Amino acid sequence: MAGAALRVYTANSELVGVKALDDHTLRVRLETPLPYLLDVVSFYTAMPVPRHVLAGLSARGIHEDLWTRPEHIVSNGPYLVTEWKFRQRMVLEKNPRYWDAEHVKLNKIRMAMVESYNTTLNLYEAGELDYIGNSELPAEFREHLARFKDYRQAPYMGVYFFWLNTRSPPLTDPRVRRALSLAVDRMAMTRHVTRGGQVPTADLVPAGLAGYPGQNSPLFDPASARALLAEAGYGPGRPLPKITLSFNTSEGHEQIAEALQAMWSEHLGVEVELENLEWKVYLKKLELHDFQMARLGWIGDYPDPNTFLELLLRDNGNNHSQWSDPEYEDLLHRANRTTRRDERLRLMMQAERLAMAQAPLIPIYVYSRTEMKKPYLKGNWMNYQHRQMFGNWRIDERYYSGVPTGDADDPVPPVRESRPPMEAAP
Amino acid sequence: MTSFVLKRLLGLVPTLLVIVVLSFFVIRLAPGSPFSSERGLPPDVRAVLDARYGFDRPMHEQLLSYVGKLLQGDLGLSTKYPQRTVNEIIADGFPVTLALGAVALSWALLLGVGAGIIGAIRQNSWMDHAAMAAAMIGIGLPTFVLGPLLILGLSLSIYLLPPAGWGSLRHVLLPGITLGTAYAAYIARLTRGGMLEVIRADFVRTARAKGLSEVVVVRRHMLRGGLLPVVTFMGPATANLLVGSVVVEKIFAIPGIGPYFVDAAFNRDYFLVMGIVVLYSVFLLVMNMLVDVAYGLLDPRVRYE
Repeated sequence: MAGAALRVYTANSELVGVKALDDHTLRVRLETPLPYLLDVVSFYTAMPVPRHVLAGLSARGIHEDLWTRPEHIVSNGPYLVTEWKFRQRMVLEKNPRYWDAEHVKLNKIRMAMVESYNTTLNLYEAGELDYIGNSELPAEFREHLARFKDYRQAPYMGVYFFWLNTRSPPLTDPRVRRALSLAVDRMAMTRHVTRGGQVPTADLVPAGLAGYPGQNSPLFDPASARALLAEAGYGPGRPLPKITLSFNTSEGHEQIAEALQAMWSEHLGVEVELENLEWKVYLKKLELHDFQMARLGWIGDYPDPNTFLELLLRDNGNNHSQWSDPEYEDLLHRANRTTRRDERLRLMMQAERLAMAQAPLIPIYVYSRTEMKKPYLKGNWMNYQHRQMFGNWRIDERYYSGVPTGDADDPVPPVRESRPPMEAAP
Repeated sequence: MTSFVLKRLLGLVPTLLVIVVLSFFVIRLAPGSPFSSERGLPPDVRAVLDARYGFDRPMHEQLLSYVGKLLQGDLGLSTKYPQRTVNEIIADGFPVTLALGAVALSWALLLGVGAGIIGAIRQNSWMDHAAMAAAMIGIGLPTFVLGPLLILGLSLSIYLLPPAGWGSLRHVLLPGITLGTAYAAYIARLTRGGMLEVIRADFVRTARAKGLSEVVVVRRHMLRGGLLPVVTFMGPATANLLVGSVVVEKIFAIPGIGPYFVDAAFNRDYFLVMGIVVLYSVFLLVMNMLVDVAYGLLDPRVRYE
C-alpha cells in the first residue's frame, strides 16, 4: 500500500470546539446537549497527553512512547507513579501537589501484577496482599470465599451478550432471533453456570443506569419462543437448520456456550454447533462478519444508557449484527438533542424497545465483580464502573494493636451530582 | 579443540538465518493482526499503526529491514507493550528465567546425581529401589501439581517461604524445586545407568586391584563415565528449561521470559515472537555445542580434529 495517503488529524480550537481559556479553565462548545460530558472527559481516552514531554523525548532521540514511564509521565492525581517494574509491580506515592492532598491518608500503595488468579489468592492468604481489587477470584473457590468477611461482590457496568448476524439465514428472520432469545433460561444460567452474582437480563441497557427505568423484559419464556418459531414457519416437520455459535477460548465462555446449546435443544429442538476459536482468529471473524452467533462483553464507557444504545447505530464499527434501522437512529438522535430529562429517557426506552423487538443480539447477564479486601482497609467502596479512588483509601489504625471487636465507621461520601441540571418536565 | 569450537560458532550463523526467515513467514501466516481488539480500530488509526511498525511495506522489504536491524542487535518494537522494546523485554525477562533455571538445575544435579550414585553402588538394595521409585514419581508429577503442593505445605500452612513473587533468595527456592524435580528424576536414572555400565569395566577392576579405596575409585574413575549420559542430557535439558518454566513462572508470578513464549504468539506480537525465537535458537545451538565440548573433555576416547 505504498503511496496511500494517511489522513492525519491535527486539531485546533477553530475546528474542534475545545479551547483552554487560561491555566485553570477549559471551554468546550457542544453541538448537542451532552448530559454525561463530565464522565466522558474523565474517561482515560480523554486525558491530555503532555506534548512538551513527547517533544523533549523526541529531541533527545528517545522513543516517544516511553513518555508513560514513571520518570517522564505527567499526572495530577492523588498519587504519583514512582516505580514501575514491568510485569512485576507498580509503586504509587502520595502526590504532595494534589489539590486535596491533605485528605489523602496513605503514603504508599504497592500494586503487584499477577497473571494467575490462584497465585493472587495465595498471596492474599499469605498476607502479602491486602486487596484483590483489579483481578478476579478463581471461579471454583467463589462459593467457599463468599463465607468470609473479606469477600464482597457488586454489579459492574457491562453486559454479556451474543451478537446475531442478521444477514445469515435463518437468523435473517427477526422471529427466529426473538425465539432464540426467549428460549434462554437466564436465571438458571446465572444461578448454576456462572454463579458469580451476575444479574440476568434480556435487555441491552442495565435497569437503573442513571435513572433509566429499564425494559425488564421476561427472562425466559419457552412457550412464546416456540410460538414465534412456528409463526416463522419452523416446527417438527421443518426443523430450523443448524446454527453455529462462536466464542473465544476460555473455560467460562465454553460453559455458557454448552449451556445455551442444551437449552436451545431442549426448548426449541434447535441444533447448535459450537465453535471455539483463539482470540485473534475470533476477532478476525467478527470483523469479517464470518459468524452466526458470537459472544461479546460490552463494558460501558460512561454511566449513561447511550453507551450501550450507540452499539446498534449503523456506522458504529462495533455493531457486528449488521442490523440497523433508520427509526432507531432517529430516536437516539432526538434523545441526544433534548435537554428535558424525562423526554430523553422516554426516547431511549422507545429506541431500546424497537431494537430489542428485532433482537439483533441476545443479552445474558449484567457483569458482577468479586473482590477480597482486608477489614483494615477503609475508604475503598465498590462502584459500578469499578474505579479505584485511591485518594479515599485509609488504614484503620486500631488493627495495629490487634483485631478490634467492633467494625469502624466507613461511610460512603455523599454523592456529588456530576451532571449539569436539565430542565424538568413542564 | 579451539578450531572445533570456532567452526561450530561460525556454523551458527547460516542456521540462525534459516530459522529467522522461516519463522518470519510462519508467524504472519496466522490469521489476525497485532492490533485487533474487542473495540475495533478505525481504519485510519490502523493504517498509522501499521506504518509505524512497517507492516504496510512489501514482505521482502520487511524481512530485509528486520535482518538488517537484527545484525545491529536491534530486535524491534513490541506491539502489545508500546513502551518497551523487544530488547528490553528480553533483557528483563531472560536473566530471571536463567536464574530460575540455574537453581532448578543445581537442585536437579544435586538430588539426581546423588540418588543415581547411591542406586548404582548399592544396586538392587532397598536404597536403590527407594531412589528409583522416587525418581518415577518425580517424572510423573507435573509442575502444576508439585508447585501448588509445595505452596500448600511450605507457604500457606506454615509461612516458611513466600507463595509467589521474585526478588530474594527465599523467592527462588520453591519454584526452583518445583521446576528441577522432574529433571532430578531423569538425571538419577541416567546417572545410575551410566555408572552401572562403567562399574564392570576393565579399568575399574584394574583400579580396585591396584588397592584404591572405593571412594577414590568412584570419584576418579567411575564418575567420568557415569556422568556421560547426564552431560548429553544437559544440552537439551537446559534449553528445555527455558520453555518448561512457563507453568512455574505463572504459578509463582515470576517475571521471566516463559509466559512470552505463548502470549506473544497469541497477541501476534511479531517482533517479540521473532526475538524469542532468535534467543531460544541461539541458546539451544550454543548449549548443544558446549555439550559436545564437555563430552570431548570427559571421554578420552572422543577426539575432535
